[in-house]
Amino acid sequence: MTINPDAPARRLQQSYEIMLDSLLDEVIQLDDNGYVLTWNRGAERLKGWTAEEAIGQHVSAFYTDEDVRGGLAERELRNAGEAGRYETEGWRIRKDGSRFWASIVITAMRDPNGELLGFVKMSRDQTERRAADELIRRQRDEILELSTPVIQVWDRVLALPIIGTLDSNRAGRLTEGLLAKIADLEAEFVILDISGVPTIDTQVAQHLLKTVHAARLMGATSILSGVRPETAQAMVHLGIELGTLRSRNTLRDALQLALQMISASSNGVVRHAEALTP
Amino acid sequence: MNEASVPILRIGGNVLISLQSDLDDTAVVAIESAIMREVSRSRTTGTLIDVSGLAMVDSFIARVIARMAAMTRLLGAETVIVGIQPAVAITLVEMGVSMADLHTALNAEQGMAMLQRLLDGRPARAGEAASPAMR
Repeated sequence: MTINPDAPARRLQQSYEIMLDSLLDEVIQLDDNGYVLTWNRGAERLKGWTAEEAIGQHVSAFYTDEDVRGGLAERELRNAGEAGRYETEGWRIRKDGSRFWASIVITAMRDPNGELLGFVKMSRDQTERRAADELIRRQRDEILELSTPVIQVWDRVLALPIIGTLDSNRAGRLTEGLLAKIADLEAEFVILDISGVPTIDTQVAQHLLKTVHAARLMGATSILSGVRPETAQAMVHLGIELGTLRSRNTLRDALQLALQMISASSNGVVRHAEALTP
Repeated sequence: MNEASVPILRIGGNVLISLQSDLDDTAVVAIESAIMREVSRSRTTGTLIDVSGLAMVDSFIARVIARMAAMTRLLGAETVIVGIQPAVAITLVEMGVSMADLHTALNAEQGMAMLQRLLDGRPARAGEAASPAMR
């Protein structure tokens, strides 16, 4: 029995190729100019080209036309060459012309003297994840829209029921929506109902006061309603100063107050008009 | 300065001033002196400053508005700022410009009604607008 000195090396080489082909992700080698040297099964599965078709092609063949014109492939390889490793995401092209969202890592391969030999490029299809991310973003936007409704409860009186916690993002939208409605409906009173807000801390109070202040600059007076006993306690303990902001226990009381103030002010105008007539 | 560029309207016993967006330092000085002349000459008791023509404000414009209101008040006229646009209101609040001691109204019509109430010696909607405490 003769021992082939190459046998362990060949077995290693073989298992190495099997490993590469077992990967579901694309792992390919490029030469230092970006031409494909090796092409694993994962790459075939991902992009549709067989190894025979792909080897020898320039890597830009898998980029969109816009990116080819923009020289993206060359730029990415240059970045990888300079930094040693480059990570990116973007649209890439399959053999059938369809696009997929790829997450890509390009690593530069150098010999012991530091001479650039080429690149290893790993890619994964993240189209679904991207779609899911986008769905989540859209839904978050929708929830924000839904969570800040402005209701006209009476002539010139708006109610803004706030449900959940207020962060600066939400508070900003809420204020914008409210101010637009004030302008639209010529509202003079705004009832901010906070019975759906679990806790009022200094930050939430700050947001509320900003909204109140902005509404007042547009000529609308705000009334706070739905302050629960424990909320009132917490606010006083925290030293939250509401200034002259009026506050009522329930939305009903707040509306009543608004109506009283409206009738008081319109009586004033009427009386003045009467005084002018001879 | 060119007085024709300063729109000052007299309505009843009140004066209405419309601020336009192309305000610079010299224009502001001209407008201020024109307003002061008009208010003192006509012994106006109510002044409306209409800022609905201002789509955006910076801190300069914000100071100008507050300054004009302070001046007319010194001459004994009640002053109401009207027509602050939503984006402007948000900017002012974000800039931390305190206009809490100014009277504000949505438009000239409501501003006029508020002036009458103020001049009748009534508290403006029970006094919220008169208090500087809110920030």
